[in-house]
Amino acid sequence: MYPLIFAGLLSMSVATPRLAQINPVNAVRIYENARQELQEVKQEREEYLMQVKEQVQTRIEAHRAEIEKVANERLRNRLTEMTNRFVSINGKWTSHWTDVLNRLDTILTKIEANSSELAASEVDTTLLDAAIDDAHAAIDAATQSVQDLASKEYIYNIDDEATVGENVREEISLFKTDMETVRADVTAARESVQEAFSQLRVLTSENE
Amino acid sequence: MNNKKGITALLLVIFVLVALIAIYFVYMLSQTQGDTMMIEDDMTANPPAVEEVSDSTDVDTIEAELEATITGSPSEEIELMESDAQSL
Repeated sequence: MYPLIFAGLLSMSVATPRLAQINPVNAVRIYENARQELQEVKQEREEYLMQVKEQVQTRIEAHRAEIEKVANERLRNRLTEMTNRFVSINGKWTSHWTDVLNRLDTILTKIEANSSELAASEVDTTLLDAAIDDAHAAIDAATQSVQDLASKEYIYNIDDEATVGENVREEISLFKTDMETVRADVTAARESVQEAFSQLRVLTSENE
Repeated sequence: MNNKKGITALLLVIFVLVALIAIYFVYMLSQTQGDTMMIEDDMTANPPAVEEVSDSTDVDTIEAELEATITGSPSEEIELMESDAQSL
């Protein structure tokens, strides 16, 4: 008798649609609480990047001084130009990817706020929370990767004018590989945030 | 008569010399401009802009903001560097 009543109650509870939905006001409040911490993380990243770039700049200036000693004027100008391009491209893209990672972090925080709000409404957010943790780890890994790239100065040997061209080409090849690696890490971070969002979308669709 | 021929030949030589010097200056000027243009091109090839995200936690807004997050690629600039370094 009792098992039958229990089974009946269980089937009723399964059949009853869950009323849990994201309360946008609560989600915004949770996000605003987390925003201060997020701003601090962003500021730390930007300050660290600036610090690394200043250290690189010192080593680059020493390399530029070496280039100035090259007797052949045309070669000297080409080498200066190449060094400028290493610095310019590295600087622009490490700044850009830092901005992208900051943006992804903000988006992930908003996903997290929605997750908290769903959990407060007794929705099972286990998969979503696991995806959020993975995304945090991917963003941290990509941030480290960007900072490592920013700390590299791509200096080549200029002792022998006959081999300097080959040295520059080897350095460009290394630079290209490094840039592709960092880009792949940033893309992986974006995909992991996308995965967390997909989990959120599943839960919100189920609870509409 | 011989003097006239001599002066004409001298003027011709001077004219050729002036023309050669002018060609040399034009060539050097074009090289300098080429280098400057390459540097300027490099400076203008910026990564895509990254806009600030809104404070909205609405799911559709989050989706739109995520889609608008562009990783970008510096491959074109590096390929240009590779190409230019071939002549070093």
